[in-house]
Amino acid sequence: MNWLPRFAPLGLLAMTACAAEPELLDRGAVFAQLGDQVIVPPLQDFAERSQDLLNATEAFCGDINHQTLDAAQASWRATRKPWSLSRAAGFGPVEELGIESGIDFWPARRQNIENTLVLHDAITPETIDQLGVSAKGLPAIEYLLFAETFDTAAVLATFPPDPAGELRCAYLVALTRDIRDRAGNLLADWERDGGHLQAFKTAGDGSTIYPTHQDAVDILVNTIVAHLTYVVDNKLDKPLTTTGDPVELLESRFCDCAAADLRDNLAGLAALYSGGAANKPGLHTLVAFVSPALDQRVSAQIVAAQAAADAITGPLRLAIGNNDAAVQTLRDEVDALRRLFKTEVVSALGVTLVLSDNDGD
Amino acid sequence: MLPAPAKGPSRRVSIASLVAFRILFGLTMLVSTVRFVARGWVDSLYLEPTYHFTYWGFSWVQPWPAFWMYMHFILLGVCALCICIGFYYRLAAAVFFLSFTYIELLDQATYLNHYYLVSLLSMLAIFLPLHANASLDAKRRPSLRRTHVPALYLWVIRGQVALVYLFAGAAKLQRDWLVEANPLAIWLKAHTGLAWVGAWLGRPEVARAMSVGGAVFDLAIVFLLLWRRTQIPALLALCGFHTITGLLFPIGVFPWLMTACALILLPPTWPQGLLERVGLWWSTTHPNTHASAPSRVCMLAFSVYATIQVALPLRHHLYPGDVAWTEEGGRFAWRVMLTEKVGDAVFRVHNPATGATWRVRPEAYLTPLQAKEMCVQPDMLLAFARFLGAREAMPVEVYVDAFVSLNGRPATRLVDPTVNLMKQHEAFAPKTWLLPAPH
Repeated sequence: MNWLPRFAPLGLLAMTACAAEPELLDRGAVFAQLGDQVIVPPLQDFAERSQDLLNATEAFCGDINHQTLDAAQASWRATRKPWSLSRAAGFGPVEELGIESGIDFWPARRQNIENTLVLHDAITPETIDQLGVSAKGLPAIEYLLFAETFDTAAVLATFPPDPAGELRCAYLVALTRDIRDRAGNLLADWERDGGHLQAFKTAGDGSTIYPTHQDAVDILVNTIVAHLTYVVDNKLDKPLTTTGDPVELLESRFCDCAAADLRDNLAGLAALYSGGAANKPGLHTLVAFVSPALDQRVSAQIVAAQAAADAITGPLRLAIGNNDAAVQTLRDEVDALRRLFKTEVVSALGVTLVLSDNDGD
Repeated sequence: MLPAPAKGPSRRVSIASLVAFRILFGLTMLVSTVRFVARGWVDSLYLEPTYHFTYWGFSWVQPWPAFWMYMHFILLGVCALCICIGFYYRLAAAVFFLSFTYIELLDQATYLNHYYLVSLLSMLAIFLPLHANASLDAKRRPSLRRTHVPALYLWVIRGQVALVYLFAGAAKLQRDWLVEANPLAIWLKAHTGLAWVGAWLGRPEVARAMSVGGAVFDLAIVFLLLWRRTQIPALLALCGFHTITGLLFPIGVFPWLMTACALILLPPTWPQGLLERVGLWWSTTHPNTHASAPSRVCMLAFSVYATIQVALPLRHHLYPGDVAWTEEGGRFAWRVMLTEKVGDAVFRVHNPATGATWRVRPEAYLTPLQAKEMCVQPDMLLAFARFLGAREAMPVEVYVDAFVSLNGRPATRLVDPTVNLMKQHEAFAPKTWLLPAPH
């Protein structure tokens, strides 16, 4: 044991270094704030608004006129908003239930929607269940409510007071009922006793879905990276680079809401990062714990991306072609944000990119 | 009259530690193979990818069909068991070496330093009489039995193991590791949620102490295990170090392999008592005491091998720039757990005839692991760019927007985005299309 005295000073040094109270990071508070205040509220709103949408489409079909159509269109927009806000946190039940494309498959395929009306004499919930995703969901409802002309009278003309108009209305109502049910199931899976919200909030503390804190961080960051990649590739790159008609490739093109969708996507992401309010724990808490400088850069890049989205004041349909530079700037800012998350945030938080668990050394 | 005691490489040493090495190496490989199959990595790493990053000159090495890939791994496991118990040992070692190396040559994305070490050790094992005691072979053929072997055989394995630690330690003697305590500081902060110790792991002084301690450990452990007066604390440090790294980081069987290997640095008789007590076909009889000394050819071969093993990890000095950034000379160099690198790459394919340019995300063609590795490895970026170009019917230009974050630094361009990678070829020459490392 004559080696012991030689190692004693090292031990003392280590003990001295550890004498101060260590800095604590309350990851549980982050997950609780994100779950309770950021992730679930848009899903609650989506469920409520989808019930409103069902009521509005039933009212429209009960009395087809400008006012009821306006109300139904406004209700569609109000339903779309929380859905867009929720996309940056599109993990958990939305994947497990496999309902994402049933809610939001786009670009809508108008031919498939019209074919549904040609091929069916009556529309029942079973009919909707059997339809492919390109003929249902929010984009199909949008097509029926807004048509393609941005003209209310033209939309009303697609609902004539005859069996064809009644079938179209029945289709519209059945689609909205399907969305209402899906939104309800989605929310229930988060909120039920022992549901995903509880699993997420107890990550690393008894959760079976997220046995470690890192599992919850991994799913959050991977979902954000996937979401931003989707936004850049599908919502911006495709319409910007197509040799065909870019409008055909826009999200929510019938209501001219593509820019609003983008702004809501970014707002949802910003809420995840900030915790949804000033001085609240959020993803920024975890990043700042590792690197305050990186936290500042991520926050600044989110602001830059949102500013670029706000700079597109009119419909995205008009900005592409008339103001390509602004759309390109938006694309580049969102891509820079995606890259920041995919490289530096992933590195700082020790995230395992997607589900590869091969060893390293 | 007895011959004068031999000196140097011909000096006789107990075979006990070499036998223990054989048993532990075979056992670790058996566990590793079973674990690899059980985790579904045969599918995810070799069968699912539609494209493989083969090594230069080894593009002919391709995965077998699924059934035969699994047969291949079963063969690996059987060979590992045969090495462990010393049954048809040399054949088993040869087949294991070829089979294991074949697997490793399938895809650069799966390169790991300890897999490379396994290939080297299994190759050396073919030529060393590690089955000359405590083996089924020696039990069946008493003429094989030895209680002592030339010291050269012991020092070949010792030398290989020592090179791993020493080059791993030398690679840590740089600013990021010693001053910034990165990447350990980054990695440890991911573990601050652990009970008991978690709160301390986020502290910079702990990361710094562990960084310095890690470098000192790597540089000193070989000598501390060899020097009799420090063997016991060194053994404790060895077990402690590899246990801690094994618990904190996802490095698979690496800690257990290195612990098993490092035991070869202890006195050659260390397991003799254990082997005698346990049995394991250990024989104290020595039918061929005056076994021949290593031949000149044997000595020359091991000398060439040693020279190559010293030169390979040093070759990165022939390239400009920081090897941590360029990766030129980074493989086969024992740069173990040295960097935290995360990258992002988007390829731009341009058809000069039509003027069309389109972006390609590698994730569309690669598995997550392949994409992750490729984004930070220039030779893999080049290979994939050329793969994309070759897919097109008409000649195209391929560029890449590749950004890498090294040890927590802001993500910076790795490749000159104006260079058409279809005009570049993989070679041993420095890659002039790489951009400088960030400061």
